[in-house]
Amino acid sequence: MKQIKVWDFATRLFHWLLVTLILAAWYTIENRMIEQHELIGHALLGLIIFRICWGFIGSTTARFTHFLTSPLSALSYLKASLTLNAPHSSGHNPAGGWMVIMMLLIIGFQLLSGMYANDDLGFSGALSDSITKDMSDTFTQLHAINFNILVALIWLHLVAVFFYLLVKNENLVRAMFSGKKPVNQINPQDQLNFKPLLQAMVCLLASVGLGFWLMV
Amino acid sequence: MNQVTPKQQLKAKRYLYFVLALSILWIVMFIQSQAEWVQNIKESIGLVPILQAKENSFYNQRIDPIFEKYCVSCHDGNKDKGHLRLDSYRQLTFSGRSEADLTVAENNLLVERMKLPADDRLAMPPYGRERHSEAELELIKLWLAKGGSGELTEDDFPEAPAKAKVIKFADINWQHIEQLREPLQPQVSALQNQFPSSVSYLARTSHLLSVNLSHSAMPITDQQLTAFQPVAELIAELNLNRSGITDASAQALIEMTELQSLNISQTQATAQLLEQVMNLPNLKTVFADSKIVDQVLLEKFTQQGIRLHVVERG
Repeated sequence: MKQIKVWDFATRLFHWLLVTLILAAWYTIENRMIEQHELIGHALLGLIIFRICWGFIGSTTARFTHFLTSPLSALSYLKASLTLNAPHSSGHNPAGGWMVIMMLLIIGFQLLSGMYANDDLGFSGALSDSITKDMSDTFTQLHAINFNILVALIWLHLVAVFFYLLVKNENLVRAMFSGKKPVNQINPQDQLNFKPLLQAMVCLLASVGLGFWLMV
Repeated sequence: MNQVTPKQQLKAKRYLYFVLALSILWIVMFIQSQAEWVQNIKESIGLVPILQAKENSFYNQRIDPIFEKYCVSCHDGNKDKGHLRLDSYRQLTFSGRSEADLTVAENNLLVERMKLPADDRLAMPPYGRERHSEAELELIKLWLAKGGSGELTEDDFPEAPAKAKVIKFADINWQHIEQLREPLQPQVSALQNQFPSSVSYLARTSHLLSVNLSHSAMPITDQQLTAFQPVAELIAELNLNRSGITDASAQALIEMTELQSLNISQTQATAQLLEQVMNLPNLKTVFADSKIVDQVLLEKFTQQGIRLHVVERG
């Protein structure tokens, strides 16, 4: 079946870099590699800044205006999904759009709390000197608690991805690698425009630079 | 939109049941990993007794102070690093993120980490923090060797080295001492000016006075002693050795209700004065010339619980 491009390279790169860096962040903290954990945190910060920017200036399917709907629409979509009557979306579906927002908020808070955190062993986050030690300790605890929320969100995300794969026979994982979906799995009314890769790379470099600038 | 087949609907249903089961399993595993939650639930429905060490247990008496000194600043309710708390026997048994049993002797993770060289990446306490002694580590090992119990007492560990004695000084309430001194402070100051180097407080922690009039260039008289009447209730020690006092000072002395020590040796005072001061409630020690003390008087003082020191004139 004919394949149609739905995801630009930048969005796909963002997605898989996010997966890799979150796994790396988990691995480093579990193995007491705090310096590496901090580096990964700042890389993630750059990545999140990029995604927010790309949500405003990026390709059609990456833009917030394309996938953000009212919460009621998202709930209706979820209900329709359960009865397998939900319409196809070219990019993020209404429920998926809210998942993106939740992910950005939760990961954003994880990064912010990490920058205010300390480990009592000589490490303190990039912004922790600007607050009291007690507050820094509180952020350290919130950093740990928020991780559980992030894991729950990732679980929900995976449940949805496998629902599409196993029940609806839509392979979203492959689409996120190739950037293409079969023509019968997209919304034919969508007019998709893609921004140049150079624009995305400039935006990504500037964002990552900003993320690491906070570290020094 | 494609037509939904019954087969697809069944698939969807099965998938959702599978996800639900997996989610429940995940939640159960998460709760099980929270040892404290599990213990609280079991205790609240009466399945197990409340987990805590006995007050006089070896743990509370000998092990807990070690953890308190080196570990608790990072492993307590405020800051449970690695989800490990060492601020009580109860919390110790929950073991932290490792979920290792920290009350067993063999391959005890806590001991293993405490045994590591101080500069090791995994050493506990971490590099730069105050570190336990070998003797303290041995004590923990000894406790673990006998089961890591919260019940066994010090009697069950005869081989354990004796606990170091800790001398504790009572807290001093400086404000209270100041309050006690304050009402008669002007009178005390006036006497200190009138009799230089003769009037001082018994101690920094006392409001009572020590009065030493034995070294005055001009021996004090009965009349001069009346100058102390305003502070009579504060005088605890009074040395009148070689002064000019006589039995006429008896009344002034009787008003010194806090008097503990009195020296009237080498004065004009007689046994009559001694008979009168004998009933002072706090008097413990008296120095007097041998010429005015007889056996009867000695016995009377002994009966009153007062040590009467007899001074022979040279």
